[in-house]
Amino acid sequence: MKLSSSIALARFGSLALLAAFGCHSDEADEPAPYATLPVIAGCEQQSFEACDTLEEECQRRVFATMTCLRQMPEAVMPPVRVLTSAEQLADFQADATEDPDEVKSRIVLERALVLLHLAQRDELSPDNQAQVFVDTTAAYYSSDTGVVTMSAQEGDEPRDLESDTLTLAHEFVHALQDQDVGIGSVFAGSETFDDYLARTSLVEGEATMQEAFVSAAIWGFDDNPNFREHFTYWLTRTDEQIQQQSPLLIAPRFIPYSYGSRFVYNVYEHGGLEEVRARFQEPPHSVLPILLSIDQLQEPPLESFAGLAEPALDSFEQVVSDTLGPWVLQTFLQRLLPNLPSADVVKAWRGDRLLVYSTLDTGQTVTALWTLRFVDGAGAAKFENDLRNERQAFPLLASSFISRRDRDVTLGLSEDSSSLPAWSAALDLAQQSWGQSAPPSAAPPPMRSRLAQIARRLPCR
Amino acid sequence: MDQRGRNAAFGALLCLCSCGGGDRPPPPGTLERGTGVDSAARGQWCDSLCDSARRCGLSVAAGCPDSCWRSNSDFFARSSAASLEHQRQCMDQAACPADFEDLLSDCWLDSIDRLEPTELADAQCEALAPEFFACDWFASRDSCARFHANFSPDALKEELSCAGSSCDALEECISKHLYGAP
Repeated sequence: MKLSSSIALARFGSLALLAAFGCHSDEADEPAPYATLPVIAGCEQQSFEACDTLEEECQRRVFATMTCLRQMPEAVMPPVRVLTSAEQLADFQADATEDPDEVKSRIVLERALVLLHLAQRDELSPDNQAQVFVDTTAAYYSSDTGVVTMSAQEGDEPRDLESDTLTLAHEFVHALQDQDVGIGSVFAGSETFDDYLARTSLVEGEATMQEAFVSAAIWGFDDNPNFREHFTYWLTRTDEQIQQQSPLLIAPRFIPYSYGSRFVYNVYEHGGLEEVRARFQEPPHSVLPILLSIDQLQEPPLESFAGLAEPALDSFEQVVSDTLGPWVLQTFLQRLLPNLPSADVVKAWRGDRLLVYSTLDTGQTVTALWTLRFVDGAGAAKFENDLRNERQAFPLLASSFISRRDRDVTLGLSEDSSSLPAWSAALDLAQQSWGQSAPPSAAPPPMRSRLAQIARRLPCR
Repeated sequence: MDQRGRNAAFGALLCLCSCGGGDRPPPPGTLERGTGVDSAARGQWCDSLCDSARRCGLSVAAGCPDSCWRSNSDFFARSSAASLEHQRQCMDQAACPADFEDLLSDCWLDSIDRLEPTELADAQCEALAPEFFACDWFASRDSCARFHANFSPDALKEELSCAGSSCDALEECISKHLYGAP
């Protein structure tokens, strides 16, 4: 609850009177409006004021506030540096070298995503990802170096010290996470894009949540404002240009900071900061619970395709295996089949596997098999029927096939449509060994998501 | 959230038709020029607009300042004197853009970025803080106060009726009261 306007105006009035008589008001006697704000309980004595983040004293004050909020009083403040966007870009591009196999897998993957209308050519190259990162990032923390980097002021717009203070608070949370559990270890074993996005949502979600707590204090709230809407409503204002970009490219920029922070806030409300910190030992492995947890935690069991036979065809080699996850599926449906109730499809999603193949030696032909598993056979049948009913509007139809087996629906696409019947047969053959119950996802194999590998080269924002 | 994009079209709401290229005489009627500081700021704003239009090569009728008063009376009623003064200085110093209307929108954006917050503007942000925070309307409370320093006390009073709006309704409500959108 906010301080009422009448009380605030009365205070302004009395201050004006004191000033007229040459007196000084003693603000120290009056508690700050945020003194009762529940999310900063125990840290009311810390600084919740904007300051010049280029000054070391300011950095120390902000860090002290964040160590209090994250209950890590012994933490060490990381170095803070300022780089221009050109310097940042040069840094990232120097790190973005690929060996020939990596180049091949990225190009083949990208061609598969182009077939699925999920990317445009060169959109997912490390150079483009680095450029997008620099263009849209005010600051970042590198767990490799333990340094916070803030973007240098470019252009003549006036600085917003409050925004800068919140940005620094956010990056300091990453430094604290790193000193607490090691951010690298949070991503250890992250094998798919969906898994990577979920773990990023935990890391960025907590930092965004803590940043919002500081922001709420600066706004002067004396009771918790509507954090959930604060975390997600801005997504409705993303512009058309962004909506045309690859969901694989934009997901790491949007999901962790919106749905991710809402998810972490739900964890926080459920079990406090202790439970939030505990989740770093057991992070989510899919964005499904992150999308579903609107105002409370909802974490349905997931199903992995690990160990299930993969289709094979002579003269093709499998180059990529990945799980794109429910948010990419939702975006795929919204763009290609806007009449389909994509939210219902997402709720029924329990796993997916994208397999990408290219012809041996030449690499001239790419085929993608995207298998989606649903919570039950009815959900899968409905999805299959919806796809077929939308046949006229389905732009992939000419170069694709759709098949369903029990709870699994597979969308097959190829640059060489004449190979599709053979791929459909190969899929049938492989699925005969799948059985009805999927094995639980046991020990995760080494990371194999090319998308996650590319994205992980960039630090935490 | 950056407020700039949402205000980029604001300058276009201002009527330029009577300043550029008009041989028509100003329409008859009594001019409502306001009083005191407001009146002076409005007069100077119109003078700067007409001078800038002339400087930038537009054909400007002799009655430009009067036409400017008439055409922008709603805008003046919603603007603070400090904002008009900031925009005036900006117009006087700005280079001529390819599209003259950009000069107005650029100076408007410059004003919402740079105008110092007032107590009234700060109180407005406090009163509507639950809505602004939930809907993530401003990057900071400070940017909220700078933005609201651009509006007149009457406009701010009307904006208070947006309290309790859902995020979906907030933009329309604020546009109506601060920008005079239909």
